[in-house]
Amino acid sequence: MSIHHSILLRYHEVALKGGNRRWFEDRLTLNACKLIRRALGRDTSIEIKRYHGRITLETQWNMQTQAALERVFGLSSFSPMRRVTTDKVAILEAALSAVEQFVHTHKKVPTSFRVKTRRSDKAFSETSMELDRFFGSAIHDAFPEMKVDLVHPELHVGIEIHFKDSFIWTEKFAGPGGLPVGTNSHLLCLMSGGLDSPVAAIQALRRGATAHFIHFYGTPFVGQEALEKVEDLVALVNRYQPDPQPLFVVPFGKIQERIALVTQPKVRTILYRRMMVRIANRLAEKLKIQALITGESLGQVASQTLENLAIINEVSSIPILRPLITYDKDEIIEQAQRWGTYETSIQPALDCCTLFADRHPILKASQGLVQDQESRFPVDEIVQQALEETSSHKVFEKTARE
Amino acid sequence: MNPYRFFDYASTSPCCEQALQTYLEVSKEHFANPSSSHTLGQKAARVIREAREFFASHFQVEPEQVIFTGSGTEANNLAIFGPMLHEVLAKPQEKKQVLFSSIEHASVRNAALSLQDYGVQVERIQVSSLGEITESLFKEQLQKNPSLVSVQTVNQLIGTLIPVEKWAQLTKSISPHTLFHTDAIQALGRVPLPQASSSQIDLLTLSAHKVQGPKGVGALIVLNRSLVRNKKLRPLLWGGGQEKGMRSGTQNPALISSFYQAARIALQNEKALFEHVLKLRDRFKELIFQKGISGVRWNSPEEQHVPHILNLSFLGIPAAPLAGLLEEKKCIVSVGSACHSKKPGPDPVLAALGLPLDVQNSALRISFSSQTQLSDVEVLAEEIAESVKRLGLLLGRPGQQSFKKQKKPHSPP
Repeated sequence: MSIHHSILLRYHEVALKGGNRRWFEDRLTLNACKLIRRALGRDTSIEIKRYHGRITLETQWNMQTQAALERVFGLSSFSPMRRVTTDKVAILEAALSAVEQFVHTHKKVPTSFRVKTRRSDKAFSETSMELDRFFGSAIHDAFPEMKVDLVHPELHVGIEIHFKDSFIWTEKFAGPGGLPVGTNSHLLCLMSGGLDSPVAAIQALRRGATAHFIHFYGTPFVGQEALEKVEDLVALVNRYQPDPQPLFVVPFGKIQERIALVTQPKVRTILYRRMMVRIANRLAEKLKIQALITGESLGQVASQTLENLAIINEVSSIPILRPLITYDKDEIIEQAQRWGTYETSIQPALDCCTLFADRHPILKASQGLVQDQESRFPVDEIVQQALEETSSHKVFEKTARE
Repeated sequence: MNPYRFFDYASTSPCCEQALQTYLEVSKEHFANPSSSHTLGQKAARVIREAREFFASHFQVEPEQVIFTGSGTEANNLAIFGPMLHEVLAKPQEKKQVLFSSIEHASVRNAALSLQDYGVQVERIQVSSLGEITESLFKEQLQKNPSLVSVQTVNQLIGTLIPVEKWAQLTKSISPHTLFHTDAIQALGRVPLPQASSSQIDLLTLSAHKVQGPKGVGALIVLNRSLVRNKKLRPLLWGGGQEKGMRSGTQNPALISSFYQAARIALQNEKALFEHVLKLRDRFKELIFQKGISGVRWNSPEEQHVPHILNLSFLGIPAAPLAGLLEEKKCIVSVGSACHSKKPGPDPVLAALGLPLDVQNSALRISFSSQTQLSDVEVLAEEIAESVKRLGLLLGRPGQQSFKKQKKPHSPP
């Protein structure tokens, strides 16, 4: 009887999705395989098996595998495990070897343990509790120094019994939750190079969306380092999607200059944003993307008042999602740390948003004012020109090196 | 053909033809390991010996007092760690102190600061906003008998020419056992350097790529022979004992020989270059005055200054976007110091000069070489006037609105 080393993937939200369930599971499996292969190498062999409410992957288990799976949205948790034929002797043998390995890695025998059996198939006549007791006493016989502790055991031996195969594991890692990337729509993220936009993008990925990226580059007024920082951030966000997406870069400094030459400083930030949204709309249309997403949060900076956001929304024909709208800075920082974008985001770089704009922007821009200001420069012509100058930057290579 | 007009020669310079030719020839002909005893090795060793003898005779020292290194940074590190680690090991009980001027290059500053980890007390010599050392304050600091003082000959950002010989004499008169080091990387080929017979300076650092030599080679000139004789310098690199044990690692005869050629030419042309760049500088200043740009602040001193490096601020006009616009017009200038141009924000040396923040943020460094022509300077002045006007218009009146630096690390799109 052979023991197969494998990885057990668990998901819950996915399982709730009734009719679409199979499709969600397919996507989850595909994403897990892609992220594992990106971490371990394109030719890594992965054998997939599907069980009721579970997926198992037979592949290498190491730190990189763990890190890759921690980025697979849709996973609630996962465990490296032993897979054996559903047979009491085989299960017990695997359980004992799992305990031995635990002792080996932790270099000591745990003081206490418990066995928890879960049966999705009633292959055995005993109840789960009876099986717990059966396996528990056998393990206790082999390691008499371990006491049984049902409440706070140092070692948890998990056993899952399915129709043909059973799984035995001692370690369980939390997955990032959410829904598998690719089960929802495509979004275009406006990336600024700050803390907020990467967090917003990752939160959208976590709801199953696929993220595409656009950056408005303040060249020649800001240097290459500003663009490189955004590329680095996109690479970090791309780690969470099975298919990394390129960054669309719109040279924006000259546009800002054109606008600034003829408009009032206090409205410029809003005028810039309206131009960004218009350009992003056109790009989204070309890419068949249904919504924009930004890192804006209500009242965080003077220009982010509800009135101003409304004025910005006006020029968009598709929804603008703002997942951080109610977040305060500390919460955004916490999220950035959780998703690993914080360190890159806080690198100093000049930012184009405030270029040539007043330090005290208008709080409630009126439609009349904005329209008057926009009548002073050729909006459509500038948008058209910006699209022609937009280039796509591949950033996957950096991701692959992770 | 390079389409740019380059005004950043203080950061580096392209290899001159002779240096490049020498590099290629020696690489081909004398590829053997100069430490090998066979003919080919000995020929390679001879190439190095010639270079060493050139520097030795220029500084009036014995060949063993010329230590070739892998960079100016390494030579500066050797000048700081060499004597100090020797001291620390020889007299572990004694308190030791190092002084360095607050406007030193990062390779001196950070090397000195890291000595704190060895229990060495490290102090800065304060300078005026023009980079001048105040005698009374310096004298006071010397009362503590520091083990080492390090003062650069020419400042890399504003071009101040520091009378290091005078400070070395003052140092020795107050504290005879204190070693005096000068980083002369920006001074080689610009101004005459000390010679051992008539100098109180003990250690002097050079780098090849600032004088149209190759990158990847520098030298520490130990003007004080007793340091070498009495083994008062501890090497940074240990191994096969090359450079008389002071710098192990197979030497690159091609780099060293190429450095020699570049330095030889630079020293030959020192006076001519000085006169040439003086003209360039004066013309540039004249043009900037003529353009009538308001809010110009010259950060470089009028006197005690090398004309090769000129630093100025257009108040209210942040340097980074200005440099960006100039780059569009194919003029390359430097913002802060090129070594960390990737990091936005002013160079710590600008802060050490005590310049107001808006002067720091708008500081532009322009540096000339023999390749710079009068016409280049005229184009630069023209483009600067244009760009300053353009940015001034966008930013509101110069001096009123300062460019928003990255205070908050983010700003959403």
